[in-house]
Amino acid sequence: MPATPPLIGTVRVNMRQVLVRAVAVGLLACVLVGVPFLVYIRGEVARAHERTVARERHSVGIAASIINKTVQSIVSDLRYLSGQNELRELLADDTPSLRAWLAQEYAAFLTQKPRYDQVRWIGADGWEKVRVRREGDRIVTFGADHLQNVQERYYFNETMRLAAGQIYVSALELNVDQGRVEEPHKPTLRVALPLFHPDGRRAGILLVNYLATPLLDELRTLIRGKDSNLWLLNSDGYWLLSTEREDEWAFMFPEKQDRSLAVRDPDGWQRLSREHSGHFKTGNSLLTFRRVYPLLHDDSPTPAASGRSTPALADDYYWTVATQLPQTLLEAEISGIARNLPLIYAAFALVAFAVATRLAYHTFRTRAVGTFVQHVLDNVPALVAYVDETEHYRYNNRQYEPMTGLPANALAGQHVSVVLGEAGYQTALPNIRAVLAGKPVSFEARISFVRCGQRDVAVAYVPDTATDGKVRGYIAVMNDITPLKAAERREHERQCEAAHVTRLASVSELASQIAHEVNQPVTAIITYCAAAQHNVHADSPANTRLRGLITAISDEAQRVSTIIRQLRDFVRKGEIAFVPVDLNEIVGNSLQLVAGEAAAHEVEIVTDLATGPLGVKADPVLLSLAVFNLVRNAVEALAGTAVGPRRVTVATRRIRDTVEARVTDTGPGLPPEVAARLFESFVTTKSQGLGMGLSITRTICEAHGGRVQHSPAPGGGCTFTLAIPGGDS
Amino acid sequence: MNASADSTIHIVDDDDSVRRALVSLFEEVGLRAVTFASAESFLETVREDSRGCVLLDVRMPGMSGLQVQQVLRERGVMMPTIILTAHADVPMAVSAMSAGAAAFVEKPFHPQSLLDCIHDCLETDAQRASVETQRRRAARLLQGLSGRELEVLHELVAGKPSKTIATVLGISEKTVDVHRSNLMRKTEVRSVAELMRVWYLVYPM
Repeated sequence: MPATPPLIGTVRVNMRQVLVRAVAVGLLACVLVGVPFLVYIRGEVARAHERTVARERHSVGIAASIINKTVQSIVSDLRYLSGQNELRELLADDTPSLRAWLAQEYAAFLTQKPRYDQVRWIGADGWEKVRVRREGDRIVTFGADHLQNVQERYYFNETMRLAAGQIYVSALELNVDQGRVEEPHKPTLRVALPLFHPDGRRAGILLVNYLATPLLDELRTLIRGKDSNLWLLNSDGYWLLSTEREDEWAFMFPEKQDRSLAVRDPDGWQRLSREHSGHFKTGNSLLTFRRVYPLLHDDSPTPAASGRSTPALADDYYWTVATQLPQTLLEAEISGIARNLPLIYAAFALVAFAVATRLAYHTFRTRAVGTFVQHVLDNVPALVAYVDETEHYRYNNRQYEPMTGLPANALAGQHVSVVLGEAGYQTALPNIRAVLAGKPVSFEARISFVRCGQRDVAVAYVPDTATDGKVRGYIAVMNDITPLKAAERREHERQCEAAHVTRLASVSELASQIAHEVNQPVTAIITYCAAAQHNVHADSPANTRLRGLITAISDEAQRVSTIIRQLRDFVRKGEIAFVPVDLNEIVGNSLQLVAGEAAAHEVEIVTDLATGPLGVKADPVLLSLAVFNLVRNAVEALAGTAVGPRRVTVATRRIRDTVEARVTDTGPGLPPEVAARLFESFVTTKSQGLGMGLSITRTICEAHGGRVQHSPAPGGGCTFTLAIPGGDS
Repeated sequence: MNASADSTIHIVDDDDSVRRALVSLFEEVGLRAVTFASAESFLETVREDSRGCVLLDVRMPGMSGLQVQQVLRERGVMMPTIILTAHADVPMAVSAMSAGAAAFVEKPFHPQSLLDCIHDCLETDAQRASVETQRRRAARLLQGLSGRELEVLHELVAGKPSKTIATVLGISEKTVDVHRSNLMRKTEVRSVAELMRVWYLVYPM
């Protein structure tokens, strides 16, 4: 992060705003991310739940399958026993030898099938006819004197009511021996079927006692190493199998009658007794259950003619297999899935708040900096604007308002020519191009503003250059320097005035000097003339003529004196006697005055005068002096040259209402340093001379509202052009 | 022309040609002229009793014409002065005239006008010189009087009769008369009127 510039460092950010914004944005982010997060978690939980349920259902299914298979195998064994030839023969002809024979068969059967505890044939009168029982490791065949009458027993009666082919299965219960539950517990299932004589009379029942311990043990192995409990419930809601061994076989003991699911969880039991299979949450556990109807699955082939099984009994006889998964275990499983997610979410929230804070701080800081910069810019006493590379304003500060009538930033989108005006835009255009080429520029211009009219402005353009060197726009700073410029102009005018006064003063001074110097010889001439007159008496025509000449000399001398006085008076008072004169005539007079000097220097004077008079209102004496100065300068310029033509051309013409005299020489021309200061006093190329000639000429021209200009002549010499306006055409 | 023979035109001008031209002109018309190239040389030569007039150029190296005029007045040189100038202006003319210049002539002048002006000056100077001669004589005469005679003369000039004079001076009327006849004899006058003229020549009112 680059260091903050000191100025921007003074900007204060409202931290309360930042925090409020950060919390709002952070919360929003958390919600936006949290909802799908939550949905995902719920989905995961649901899937975990489903998996659990499926697993539990699977366990239950396996248990049910084991039970069904077991019961079927028992029924199958029973049907096998009932179909034995020995038994058939015995039923046909009951003899002790046959009974013994059958008993032997049964003993062999028990030996082979350790799951069975006892096999009996009970006669229709309720007396046991054959009874073989397992006692420990031995198989005991009961003798006739040990046989009992079981006429009162429920299993005998139940079975005796069955039709041929029907099976009786007793409830699974603990074996009771001589009125007491046998210890150790012997969970026993009695399975029986009715027997018939060949003539169709009832011959009693065939009954096996099945020892359910191996079955129950096998069922227990199903849940070994698992978190859930496996239950086997009878149709009264008592546990035949449970993790809680105390709960098992409670119906067998009078003191445990309340240890049933119906008592412990009536709602759960309700559900269990209502539905055949399913799962639900009860208390703090998930209960997955399924009813097992072992007799409905008796699909063994039967020789009996009267139907295969006993539907009523088969439908009513069922157990319920259930698994109970404690809630804590279920949650543990689910939380296993979701355990890390809240952590991730919390981390995200933290990051979200941090980012939101930073973002909010940055936003408010940017805004504060913007406000600050705008405040500064608005109060800078200059017109500040940002212009993009298409020459459109992006921003302008408040200082534009007094100039343009538009408030701060109202120019955004406007083209610069809107403010500068077309003329101002043309002035600024080269500078705009320069700054858009990446070069800072500054210039001064006079621009016409909508609100305040013509103003002098100092303008600076600073390019806004991107890091890749591309110019994106520029910052325009414009200062109203109208008062400054006005003062400057006044100062300049004052200096010009002062220079003029100085020049006039020097001319005046020189004129006095000249007047004094010239007047002396003129005075002498006139005085001599007067003295001469006294010596020449008009007594002869020759003398009369001589007197005339002397008078003429005197008059001319007087004229010289007059010229001098007029010049002096003019430069002293700045007054001119304007009279209509002909410039051609003036030029002619001046050329006469300089003719002698021209001849002396062997300079040819050529005239190219306009045809017809060039009438103009002027002071004839001063104008003559001005022309005379120019011509004499030209002659003197040629005097020093060694080779080449020595010619001065004097031309006159009228250009509209201006009359012009043009004096051109064939001399060497003027060195630039002299040309630059040509019309100042005391600048001269002559070794002897005051350098007043051109100065006086200019003063005279200006006094006539005209001007005198110098330009190099085509042939190498100089051309001086004297122009006086106000001519009549 | 009643200018006396010793009247001389004093030309003071730094311009040689002007001096020589003027001398030529004056000689042609029979006037005597002396020339001075500078104010200083003129002031060395000129005396109180110099006669004639002064042609004084204003602009000269060293002292200007107007300063010379000032010095002449201070020294009691009473010759009329004509101020010559190559470039005249009003303030210069005013100061020249107020300093007692007889005329103010701008170069180049019309020769006849200058000559007329010079004749006027010489006339004036001649008159002034004659008055001056008489005044000197009167002064000399008055110097010959005794103290008492002067006292009596003073009272007489005041127009007082002898009797009053006697009372004022505390002497007898006869003594007054004696003094009066003595002083009239000494001053070579025959009447009191003449006596008063002599007095006023020396002590102008």
